[in-house]
Amino acid sequence: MQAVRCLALLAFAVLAPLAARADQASIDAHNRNCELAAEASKLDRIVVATAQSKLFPDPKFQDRIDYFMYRIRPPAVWDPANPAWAPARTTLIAIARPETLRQLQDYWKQLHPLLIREMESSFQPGEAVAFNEFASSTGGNAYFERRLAELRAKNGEMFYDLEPEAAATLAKRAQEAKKKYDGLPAAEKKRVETFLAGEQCAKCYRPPAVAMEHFITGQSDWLAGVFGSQFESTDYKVVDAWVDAINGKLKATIPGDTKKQILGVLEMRKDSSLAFTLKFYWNNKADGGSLTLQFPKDHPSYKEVAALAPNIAPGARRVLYRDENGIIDDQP
Amino acid sequence: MWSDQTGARDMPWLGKGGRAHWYLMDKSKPWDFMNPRGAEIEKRWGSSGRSGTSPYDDAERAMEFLAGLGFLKPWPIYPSETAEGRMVAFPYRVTIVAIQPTVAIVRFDLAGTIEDPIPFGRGAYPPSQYQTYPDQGLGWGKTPNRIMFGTHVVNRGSLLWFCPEANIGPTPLDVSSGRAEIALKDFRLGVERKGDELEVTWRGR
Repeated sequence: MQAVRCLALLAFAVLAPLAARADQASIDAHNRNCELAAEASKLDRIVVATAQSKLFPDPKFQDRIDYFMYRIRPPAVWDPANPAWAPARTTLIAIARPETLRQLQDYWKQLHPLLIREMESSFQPGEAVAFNEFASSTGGNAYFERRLAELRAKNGEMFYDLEPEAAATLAKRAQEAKKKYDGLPAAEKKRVETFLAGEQCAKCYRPPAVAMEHFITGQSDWLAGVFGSQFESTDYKVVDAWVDAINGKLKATIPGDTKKQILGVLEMRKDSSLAFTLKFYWNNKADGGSLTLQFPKDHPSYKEVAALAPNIAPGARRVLYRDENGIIDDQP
Repeated sequence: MWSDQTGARDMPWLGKGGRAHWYLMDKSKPWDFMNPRGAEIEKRWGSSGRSGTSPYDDAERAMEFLAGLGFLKPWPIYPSETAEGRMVAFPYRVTIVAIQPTVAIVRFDLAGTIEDPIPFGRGAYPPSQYQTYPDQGLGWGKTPNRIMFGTHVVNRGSLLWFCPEANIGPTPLDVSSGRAEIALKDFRLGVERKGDELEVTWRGR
């Protein structure tokens, strides 16, 4: 009995490391497959470009841009209805692009290995093998090249672009990639169509195309959120430089600057009553809401409110300012 | 042990005469060294720490008195919640000029509707308090700005006064002649224009 136990222990001692080594070898092979597939498909770049494409349609991201717009001038003096708003916003986006590139370049050192690691845990071994086979084929290669080029051309000159290029160059690259794809031999085109149609493979848990799309959607959603947070957290000194640049470029068109506190807008209505409207920060928006204080003609404070904007007439609106000594008037 | 920390504060008058003092007592227990809120300091104002009252409670009572009279009702309300409830865009500045009983002057100021940005904080205070203004206010969550105290008020905007203990609601205070008086049962307060500000003085009956 004792001898049997000794033999069993000996067998375990010899075989366990071998089994572990075999397991490690299969993990290494899976990781290698994922790395090769990512390289061949440029999946990391496709995830970045897809995340970029989700930024501007997202109202939350638009709010983040508006937040910086209200750093140029507060909500009391301008909003999207102001004719100077749209050109200034376009200028801001152009001025902010290099900073988003710097942020992404900095983050890429972590992001690139992170995406590969995510692939390793997202794809089953069989799926990774099949995906790698497809991505490494002539057809797969041309498909991914076209997909990335078309995404980038559609995004145009966009925030968080790792290799920023002019819109015309991006469009040209998309055309070339399409041409290359269209020129594929029929067998390679068939391979792409079969893959994209969700061809199942024997050792796959899901069709590899489904696994791939699931990965791109999940990772790009997450990455778009990261980009949004990074943009929102841009160093205030950098934002100050944007504001200075816009002040320099568009001084003639945007509302005048002031060192005073901007309180809000005083309006005299047609019935000569006064309404003071202030805007406030709410729900992460600089113009998150507004409140209006009404002063009908018989209000005890009517005269002193009207005196803040001398000669205000029915239908007129004046911005009210307050200096550091607390004096309120309508002069910036 | 109460410690007199009045320092350079412009303290309100006491109803019985003389100026209130600002007292602190460290009520921390030895085991409070782990308290993330720090030391537990009780604050009082009055003629002594023992007979004094909490300035914050007095300010809150005064404002609740105003609210009870419907004085805050005409003004719009911010959507954000504070510990005391939702904040009112209140176009006035309130200065407690006397305690025991509480007498406060209410000054119309459209800027009172918005929380003072730090660079503009002092503008709500009279020039004589420009150096000490951070110590001249008491927080209250239902208005964007602090309730002020002292014997000086900015000479701008129309004025009202009130006294919760005497159940006197907001009453006009006309200083167009340069001086005015607040008359209560046991004492009077004189209000006199001095340059850019109004000075409040205690007068016996």
